[in-house]
Amino acid sequence: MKWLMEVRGRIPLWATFVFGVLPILIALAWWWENTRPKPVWRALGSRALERAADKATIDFEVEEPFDTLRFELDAGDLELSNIQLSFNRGQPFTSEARLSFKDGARRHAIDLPPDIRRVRAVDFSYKGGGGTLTVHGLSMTPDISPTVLPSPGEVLVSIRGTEKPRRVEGLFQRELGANTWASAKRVGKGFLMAVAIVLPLGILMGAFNSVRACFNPIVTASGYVPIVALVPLTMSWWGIDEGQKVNFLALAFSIYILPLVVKAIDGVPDVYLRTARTLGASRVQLVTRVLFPIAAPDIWHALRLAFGVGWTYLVLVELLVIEQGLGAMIGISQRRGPKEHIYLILILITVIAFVVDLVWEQVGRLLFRYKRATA
Amino acid sequence: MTAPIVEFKHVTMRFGAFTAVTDINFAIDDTPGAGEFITIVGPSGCGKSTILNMIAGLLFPSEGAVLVAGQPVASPGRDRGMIFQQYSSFPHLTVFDNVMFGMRINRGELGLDKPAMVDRANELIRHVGLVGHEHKYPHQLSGGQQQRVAIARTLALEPRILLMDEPFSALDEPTRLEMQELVVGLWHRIHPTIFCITHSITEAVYLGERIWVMTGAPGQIAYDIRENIPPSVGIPPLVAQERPDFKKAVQTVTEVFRKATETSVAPRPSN
Repeated sequence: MKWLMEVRGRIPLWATFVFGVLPILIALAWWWENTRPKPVWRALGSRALERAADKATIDFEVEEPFDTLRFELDAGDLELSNIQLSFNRGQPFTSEARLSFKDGARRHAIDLPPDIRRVRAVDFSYKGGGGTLTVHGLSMTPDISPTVLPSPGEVLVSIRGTEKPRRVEGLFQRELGANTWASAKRVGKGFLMAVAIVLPLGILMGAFNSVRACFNPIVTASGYVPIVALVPLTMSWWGIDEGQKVNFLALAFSIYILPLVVKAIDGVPDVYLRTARTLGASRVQLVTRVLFPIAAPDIWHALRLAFGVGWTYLVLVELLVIEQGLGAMIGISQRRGPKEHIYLILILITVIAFVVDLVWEQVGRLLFRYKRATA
Repeated sequence: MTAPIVEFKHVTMRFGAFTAVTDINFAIDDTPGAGEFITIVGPSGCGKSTILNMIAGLLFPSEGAVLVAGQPVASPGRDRGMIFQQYSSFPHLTVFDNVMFGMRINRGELGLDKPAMVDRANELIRHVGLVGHEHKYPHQLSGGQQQRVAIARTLALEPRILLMDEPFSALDEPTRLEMQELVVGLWHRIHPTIFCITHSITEAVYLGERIWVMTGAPGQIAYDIRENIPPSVGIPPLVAQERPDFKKAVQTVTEVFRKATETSVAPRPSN
């Protein structure tokens, strides 16, 4: 097990797998454990019974719904006979139950049906010293409230939606496909806009120091602009319609991609340029036949990274101006519920981004076959 | 009388306060079909590469004139091919496309049609011993093969002058010997004027028919050795190196080199 903490040590394949799955399992276990309903008993009320009296009435109000109610007597020195209990479910007292204490039992309890609002025992008689009469409510409550964190089961159920106890829309009843398509279209449009502007600009900046000098201050500064803060600004610039969202995404993409394109061009070793020049390449050819093609794999990688990040900005802009799209669905779920859908949409976006990233990678492999390692 | 193929007239090159080479003067005769093979040795930082870069048109002198075929060098051109120490095969092109690169971008001026270009590329690939590797990418090649690509690509433009800046320094010893033999063979066949920088005196003696020994800081061509360099065409390096006249030449150059290095150690006012 020396490899466990070896600096840059190789670890066995199985360990890579186990170590990778472990945190996910722990997170899932934590999620399940903390959102799992657990029995919690709470005293609803109690009544002390004094010596010498021989008749008493108790009346408990049950404010919250409990899964189980328990009428419990700690009789102390009391001698009790049958206690007649009356329940109320909102209407006049209807159901009845009998709590009998036989054989001088000191403690006794009966479970009552749920959804009872009041429990009342009228004029029951007792003898002897003193004691306490208590009503407990049992509720199955998770440690973390479902409004904060729904359980895995609830999240799964919310995909289909529920009819009872209350009607909740299923994920697919919320036009998931159309919303996903709307989001994807926005990301795609914003991305293409950004690439159309930034790719030539970045290549020119990488190739010509005059162009770089011209744009570098703006590019450097824009790296520090909090992009989030641009959303409200873009709303006042371009309104709140589709154009604003696409333009904002294009802006965010541009800020991300431009420096990476410049860096990719910078990364082309000088020897290729010198070689091409001694082979008689013109300035245009140096850019189109040397700088761009050699930097292309790195540029592709930059675009791939940016495309992944783009989904982040998408949700941001759709959350702030709710109108179709996965981000809008998150916003609506946040305000109106079901909150479970937020988690589902997050997972969905992750899956989409992951799959799209795979496509980027595979296309990149096809395009830049020569990049593949010899081994 | 034709103008010298390469001529330096009082060439000085400064990089800021640093003087790389000072007052370089030479003229290499233009003898078509029988270009000279000049190897340049000298301590590191003596301005060997600077001289090559000025011939190539990648650098321009601070003072003096660099003339190629009587014309001042204004830019790089396909009449002067250059091979660098770093592998320079374009990573996105196959061996074949690398060799075609120069011909493609000069298509108009060369006046070659496509079949002629392909023929020439294939012929050069054969000359440098890369048959069967035409469709490989540089990352699939060894260092020696990459330099073969660079040589073939440069020769495709039929340059009058070939500039080699420590072309075999990154190669292992057996590969280096192979490449030396290859270059001597190619030179014998095509006979361009070659300037080749090397840090190995044995290599300089084997390759060159004329050896320049430079002094450093600021660089000058201190010795121009033309006599007693045995010809090496058709003789493998390991065989050539065993011959008494070869050993003698190496010894001579080594002594001269040492002398040159000693001179350059003495600080000179550089103003």
